[in-house]
Amino acid sequence: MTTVQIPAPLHYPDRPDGDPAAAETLAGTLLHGSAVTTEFADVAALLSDPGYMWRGAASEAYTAHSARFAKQYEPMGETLKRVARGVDVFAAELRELQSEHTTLVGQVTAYDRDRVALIADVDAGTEADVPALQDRARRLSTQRTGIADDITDFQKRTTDNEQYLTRLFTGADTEAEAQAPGGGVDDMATLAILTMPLFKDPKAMANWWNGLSEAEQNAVIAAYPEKIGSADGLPASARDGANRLLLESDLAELHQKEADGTLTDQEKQRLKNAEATQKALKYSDDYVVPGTNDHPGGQLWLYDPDAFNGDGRVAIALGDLDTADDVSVSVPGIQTQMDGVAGNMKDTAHLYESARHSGDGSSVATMFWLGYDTPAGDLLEWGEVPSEDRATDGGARLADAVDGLRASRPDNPAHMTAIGHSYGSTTTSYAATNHHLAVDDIALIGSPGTGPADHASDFSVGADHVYDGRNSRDLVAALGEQGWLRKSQLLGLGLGVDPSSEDFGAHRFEAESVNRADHIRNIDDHTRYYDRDSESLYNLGRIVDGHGDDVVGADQSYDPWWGPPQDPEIDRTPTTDVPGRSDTGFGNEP
Amino acid sequence: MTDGVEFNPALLFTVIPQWRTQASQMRSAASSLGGAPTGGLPASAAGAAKTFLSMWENTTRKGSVAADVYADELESTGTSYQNIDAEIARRMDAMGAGAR
Repeated sequence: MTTVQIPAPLHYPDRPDGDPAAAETLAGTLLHGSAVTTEFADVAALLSDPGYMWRGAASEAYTAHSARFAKQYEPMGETLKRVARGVDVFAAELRELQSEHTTLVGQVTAYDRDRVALIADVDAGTEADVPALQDRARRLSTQRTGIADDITDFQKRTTDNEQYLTRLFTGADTEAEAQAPGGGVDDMATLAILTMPLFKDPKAMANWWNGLSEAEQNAVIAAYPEKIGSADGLPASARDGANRLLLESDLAELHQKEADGTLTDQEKQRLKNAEATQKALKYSDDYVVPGTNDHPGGQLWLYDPDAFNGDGRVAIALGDLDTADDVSVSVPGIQTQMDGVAGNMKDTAHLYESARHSGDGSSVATMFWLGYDTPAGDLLEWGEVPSEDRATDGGARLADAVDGLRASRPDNPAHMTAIGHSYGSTTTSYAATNHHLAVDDIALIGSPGTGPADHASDFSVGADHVYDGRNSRDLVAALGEQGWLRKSQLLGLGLGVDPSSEDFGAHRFEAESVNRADHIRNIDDHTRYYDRDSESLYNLGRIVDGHGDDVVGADQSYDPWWGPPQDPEIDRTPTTDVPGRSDTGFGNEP
Repeated sequence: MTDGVEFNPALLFTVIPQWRTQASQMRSAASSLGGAPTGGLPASAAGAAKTFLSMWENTTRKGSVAADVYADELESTGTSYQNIDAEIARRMDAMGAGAR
């Protein structure tokens, strides 16, 4: 008698208890309470000192009492804020777990269906069917083991998440705990952060992060978002979670101060930066590629509103930087500051559209990266021509950022492209020449010069992977050096070689605009490189998609001995919406 | 001992309203925290959440009460100073009338 071993049935896992949206609402209430408490402590400290307006024994008694009172409340706002962030992190994890629950239920249902079918076939089968039935039973058994393991892991994570939430509340439910410095920090986070590498090497950071359990990671994000949000080497999802917490609490606190009229000038700028980030992030979160169901989602990869004396640092991506096959980093130029970030996200979206529309089906993430201090001056105003100092510093920062992205996904490297626009192209050139920028391709658009690089082969990616787009009417792009006239002859003035020139040796691609001016160089044509259905956007999309060899080439500019620099593109008729040349997929925006 | 007493009545118009504002905001925060629904939390955490919220409601309410007390005390102190000032002025005026 031959037997067929039917694997045991599987039980459905319990759905994680709770409602993520309701938990987020509670987090919002706690955050508001924290903002009010922080403001209360700050104002109470100020009011405790009446200064010259009141002196005497009564005044001294009042000051002693009220100052002590204010001091008690000082740490409480922070404690409540940490708990609020923890509840937010709990809610995000709960949402994910509930989604996984749905998937697991589907898997169990399918398993049970297959199991019942196998039992029926065994009942009806003959001896001849036994080998096939045994094979099915073995496969089903393997499947069962996999699902059972997933359920066990799922249940553990559910329990961990609930216990974490409970600890958050019990750890700050007495006045003493609320008033303790560091109140509201979960012990798990305290222990985990102690093991964080002292030197912020991206690879070491990635190893540290991957060595933490999911529960520890969540606890650390909630307790130390300022350490996690800008840590190079950590997954974008972790940075995004941390930065959103920072943004949310900034907005709550600063709006409270605004309502009280107690904002300092520095805080006013911080609020502007936070509000601009919120707007840009909302645009990214809500964005759907027109005419499709492609909803890439946003990621707040960098949020540092106080950097550079309030100019701020911010980076926002469309798509998933942790998993996308193709990742681009767009580096902006002069006068770009954090409070204007919302205006830059459309360009980032257009680039995403183009890369997807003309692409090979690979997933894409496009990131706007304002991680350096751009010059505030005007390139075209006499006396305000910026030096290369900001590009030098920015180049190092850009290279570090890319190293961080690389280190965060060592087993699944993306094809990466850096795109530098305007002064950002000079910054990108510094990164590629002096700091071994670890991307695969580099595109420079509207470039006023390539800084330290005299030739595309000076770049880390090699000349064959350097691309340049230059609108022949772009006034800023005309500032690059051509021919024999170099910085060395100009007392160091200028930003370097024009990358569209034949001397530089990059692949120049078509980047003329149908809206370009008639034979007059102007500033508007400096801002058309990301226009929908433009030649430039089409070619950038091809490069981002990893198909730079498919760009539509343009003749390089040159500087003949007999006259001024010549641009062969000046007389070519530009195209728009031409498939394989300037069609980026989705028409012009209303 | 101090070097005497100084009191600028302008204090009443600057510091006291600010204490009142803070008292009002803390009162409102206390109500929000006390009334925050916990129904969306897992049953295992609901009890801890209620204890937590209750403590925070009490603490913020204490803050609001204290802020009101400071405002009241400053108000009565100011009134006392002004009353003493007025009383002494009245006496001086009375003495002056007797001297005539």
